[in-house]
Amino acid sequence: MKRNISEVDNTSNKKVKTIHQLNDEEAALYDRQIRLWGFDAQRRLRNSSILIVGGKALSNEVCKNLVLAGVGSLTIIDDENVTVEDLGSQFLVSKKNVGQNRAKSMKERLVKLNSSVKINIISDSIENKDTSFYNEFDVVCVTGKPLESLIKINNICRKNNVKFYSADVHGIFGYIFCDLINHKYIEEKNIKYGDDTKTKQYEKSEQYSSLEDSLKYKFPSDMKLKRFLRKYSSIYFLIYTLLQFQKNNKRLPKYISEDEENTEDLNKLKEIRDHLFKKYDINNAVLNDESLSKIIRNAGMEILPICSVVGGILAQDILKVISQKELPISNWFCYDGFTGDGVINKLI
Amino acid sequence: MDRLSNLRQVLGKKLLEKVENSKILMVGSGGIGCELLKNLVMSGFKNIEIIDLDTIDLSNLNRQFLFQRQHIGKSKSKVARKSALEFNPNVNIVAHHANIKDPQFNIKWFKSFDIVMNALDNLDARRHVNTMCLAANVPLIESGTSGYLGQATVIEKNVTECFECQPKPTPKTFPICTIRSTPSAPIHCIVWAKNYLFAELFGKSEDNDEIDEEVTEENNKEIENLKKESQALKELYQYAGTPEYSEKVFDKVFNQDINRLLKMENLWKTRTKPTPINTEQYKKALEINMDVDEDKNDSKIKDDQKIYSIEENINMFKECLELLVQRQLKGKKIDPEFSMSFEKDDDIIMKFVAATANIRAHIFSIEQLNRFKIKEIAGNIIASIATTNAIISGIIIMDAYKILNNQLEECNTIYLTHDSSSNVFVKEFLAKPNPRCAVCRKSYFVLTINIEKFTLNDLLNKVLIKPKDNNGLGLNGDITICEDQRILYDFDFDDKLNDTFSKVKIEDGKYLNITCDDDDKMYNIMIYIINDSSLDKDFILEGDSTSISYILPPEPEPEPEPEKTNKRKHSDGDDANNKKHKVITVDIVDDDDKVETVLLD
Ligand SMILES: [Zn+2]
Repeated sequence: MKRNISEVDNTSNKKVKTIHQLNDEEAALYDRQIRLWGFDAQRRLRNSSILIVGGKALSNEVCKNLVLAGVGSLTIIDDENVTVEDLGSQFLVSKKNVGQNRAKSMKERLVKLNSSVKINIISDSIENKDTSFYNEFDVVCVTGKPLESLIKINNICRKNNVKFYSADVHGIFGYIFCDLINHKYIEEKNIKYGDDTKTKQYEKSEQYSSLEDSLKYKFPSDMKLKRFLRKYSSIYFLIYTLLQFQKNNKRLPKYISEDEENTEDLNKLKEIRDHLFKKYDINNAVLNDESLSKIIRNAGMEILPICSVVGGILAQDILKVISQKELPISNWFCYDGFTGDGVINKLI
Repeated sequence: MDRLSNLRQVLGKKLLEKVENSKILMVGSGGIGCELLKNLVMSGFKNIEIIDLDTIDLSNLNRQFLFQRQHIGKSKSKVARKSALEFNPNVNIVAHHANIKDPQFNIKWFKSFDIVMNALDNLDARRHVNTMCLAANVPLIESGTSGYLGQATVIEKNVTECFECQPKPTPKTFPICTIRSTPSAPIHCIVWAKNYLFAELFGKSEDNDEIDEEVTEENNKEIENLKKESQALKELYQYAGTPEYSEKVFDKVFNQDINRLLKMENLWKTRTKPTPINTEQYKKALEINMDVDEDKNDSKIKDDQKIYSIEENINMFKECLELLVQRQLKGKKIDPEFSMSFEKDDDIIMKFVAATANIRAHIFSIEQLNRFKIKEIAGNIIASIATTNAIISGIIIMDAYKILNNQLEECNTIYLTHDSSSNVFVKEFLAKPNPRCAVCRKSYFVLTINIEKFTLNDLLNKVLIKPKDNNGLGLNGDITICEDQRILYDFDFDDKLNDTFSKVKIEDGKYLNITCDDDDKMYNIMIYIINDSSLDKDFILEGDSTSISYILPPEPEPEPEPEKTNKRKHSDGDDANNKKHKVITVDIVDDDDKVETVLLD
């Protein structure tokens, strides 16, 4: 059923919700995951409300995973229509949806995955939504948006104390950024005594920073290359360069062909890299020209195997945040599907 | 612009073409399989065969997303095919609802694939596919998930380790005395309830595979006593069906047997003494709790999470025992050999095991567990989630791209860790084959013959002994020819030498195992037989005879391997026992297969 979002209380941050208890049917359906994260976490998932911005392939993966896990409600917002290329990576839409709204097109298959999850579709632009719109969500996850929008949404979420994620897949590369403001969680440790295992719990918290601030992270300038690369992933710089390019040019870099390099875009990318690297005296080997031309080839090209990996990690992290168990990503995850490196960098 | 635009740009035209022309076999369409099939049809692959013998169960639906409620009970592979075709109708999927070990899935069939992908949940099938891929010389992508953890790796004959290059740990067993005489942890009581009490009362008592009955000097006397104890319990069966049966069983196992243990004073010098429950206490518990079921309205979910009082457990014991005895007597009427085996999804059996485990825990002052937890332990249930399977199946596709692009050297064994501090994935270089591995160091050949004409003597003289430069295998030493366990020929058994293959029942699709003992060197060869009745020559031998190498004998004592830095996990560890080994298990879920915990490191 479609819920009229504007009817939700706009005036306060407080979310008045009835707590749904799990029933026997749900306990049987979710048995194999309850054994992993427990009844309590499952109950929290059941009562959670998540907003996914964008309805492309990465979003398809995340939505599938969240719906299967049994979140309370999932809202998808996208104002664009399904294209023929989308069919190559978006398994939640089909040929008949070409030309129709992307978010709307996802619903039919999502509902089939788990009918107990409420799925709300908004075929509007997120830019048209005002601050109060975000209030009813526990987690907001933005995909497929340029840097300015990400920063804008992130700042609104911060003000409203809503946990924020942004993520994208570009060809074989992918990233996840998260700003959970001040996140409290339980860490569990299993201690073995002979054939017996006891679980100890520790209350912890983690401080996050906004995307805007995180991108201004001051890298140490006196580090040797090897140590630098052990601490910071070169994939982060690749994503950074790409995000800045998109901000400066209001578009992603354009790939020409296997035989022809887009030198204009390559030079623009180099400029962005050089600017950052000079500022902190970072060795160019961290992100060489070859990697920059790889970005051009991969930019904006979602392919499903990479979405499957990044979407799996992203959805699991959102579930972690809702169930308040274990430390979520803090605060960047960067992935290179060719090398298989998936690194978490804390840039706070 | 078309469906494949993105892939074409990222992979390049050449690789995409290879992908489109490749033929893939996916073995298993459960947890990893559902995610993997979705990825395959969306990643350029056009010719896919899938095989699974399982049917769909409710507890699959939280992650095996190609299946829905209305599919429960139907074939996994057939439904998976149908659902995946909706994602992309332009691919060919052949689905087999069958066992991968069936004879029609022979070497010829395996050879028709460019890559085989395992999405399996058991060791036995994994071993089989490993052997078949080695024999057919097809690259295999092996994978597994368990909870938050997962892994994927590539196996290519003569280049990498195979699935069996490293020994697999045997399932955990407990010493018999810990289970029967001196339990100290909840699991000991659960194993006792399931593998001793339930098995003795209702099952075939031989299937005690979780209890290690090794006799040592110290325990041989106690084992003798325990045998008498089991015998005495069995003799109570004459009372089955009478009102006093449950009381007699209770008194036997929770009173008399405990009292016998108490007499062995040296057992209790360092341990807390157990407290038996006598018949009077038993009867009292039944009285007090005649209306124990007042909260029967409780949902199952609440009930499963409750710790029962001893009185409630005693009532539960009586109620379940009587129901099970009725079942047993009915069964024996039809078949005197009737027996029951433990079934975690059978509510009565589960309640019986939980109640008796907890009564025993109470007697030995051990922590009691709720039924949810006891079911998990007794049923070997492995947690399993969609996200882990999605992540691993994405990695499998990337491996497949590299294999098709002749970039095997770019493949790694990749572990998904549950560690959010720095590396989500841990990579390891693909290891070289273990020179002592009896599986991949074996040489594999395909022999095409007319089984009505070709004799064992022909095999020996025209193929095995004949020099390598003369189209033979050049074996030199004591040769033994076997089919499975059956010896067809060895140096002092040559009666069958003049028999044709047909006469000794070696038909199309069979395998011969040949060993050649050349003093200190051992050669191991497997020959796969293809029958061709219109063959115009003696035989055709396929395989590389120059690749025959001997297998080193197994090492006497495995040296403790120093930990390599690139493998170390940087967490201070959620599981103390995981420090040295990564535990990778498989998506076992719906049957009572043994838990297969594969330690790889
Ligand atoms: Zn091997």
